[in-house]
Amino acid sequence: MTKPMTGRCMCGAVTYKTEGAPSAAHACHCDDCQRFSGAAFVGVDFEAIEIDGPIKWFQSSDWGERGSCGTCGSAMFWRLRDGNGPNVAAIGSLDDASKITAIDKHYFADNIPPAYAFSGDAVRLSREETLAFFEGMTDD
Amino acid sequence: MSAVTGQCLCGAVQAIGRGTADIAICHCKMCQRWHGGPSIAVNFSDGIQVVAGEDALAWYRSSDWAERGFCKTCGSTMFYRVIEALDELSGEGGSFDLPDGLPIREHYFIDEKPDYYDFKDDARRVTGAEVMARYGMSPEGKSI
Repeated sequence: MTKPMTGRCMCGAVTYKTEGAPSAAHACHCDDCQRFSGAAFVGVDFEAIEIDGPIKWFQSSDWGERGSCGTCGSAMFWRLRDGNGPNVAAIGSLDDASKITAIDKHYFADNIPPAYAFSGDAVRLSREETLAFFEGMTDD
Repeated sequence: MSAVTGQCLCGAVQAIGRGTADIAICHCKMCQRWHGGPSIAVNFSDGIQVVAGEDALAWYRSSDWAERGFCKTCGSTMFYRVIEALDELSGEGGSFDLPDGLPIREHYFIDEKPDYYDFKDDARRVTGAEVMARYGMSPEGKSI
């Protein structure tokens, strides 16, 4: 069994423990992620996340919701409302993300503002390609 | 540059940035905890004005000298300001409809940047100690 990873918000009121063994992060550049986190939402997928503290969930679409700390406002989680998808934690909230050494995918890469650019050769999926990618996952 | 509009994810908090703008990227662990990754901040020469949703905006004092503003409804992480200058807001790039061609001024706390990402630009990289020295702060009070 993989050792759980732990994380918390900036003020420490919300803490969490994960199940699963991710090796890479993904960065989402959609408008909603940029608004929520202030820039790209760099997330790590887990099979489950056990959360403790004043987490606040906001329904941001028909299918998804976002979790932030009710005390300090830290942008922390994304998950599917039906509970069938991955539980995504923002990489910055992990206590030790040193085992996650790369971003392996950029979603909505054609929506990255020209002001900054991530280096690395991770695959850049356009909006269209991102939607097709997730559509494919749903079909499976 | 004319006015640039901004808002949180749910639209409750609305803001306008005026004047010329530039970008500053902060890699400190506190920003990583709060935003979920590096802070890509935008500063406007004539400031940022919150034009709607003041009551939806919460301020959390994250250190002895600064606080961070977020939307109470959707949790969007939006602003940073020092307590001595409460009217001078620094915004987050993702909150604003940024125009093309903004320069990156600097990268802060480069010594706290995790390995999993990097940026392509060649803007100056300064360490946390250099940032703290610039503002006359001691390393013990490192969290910004």
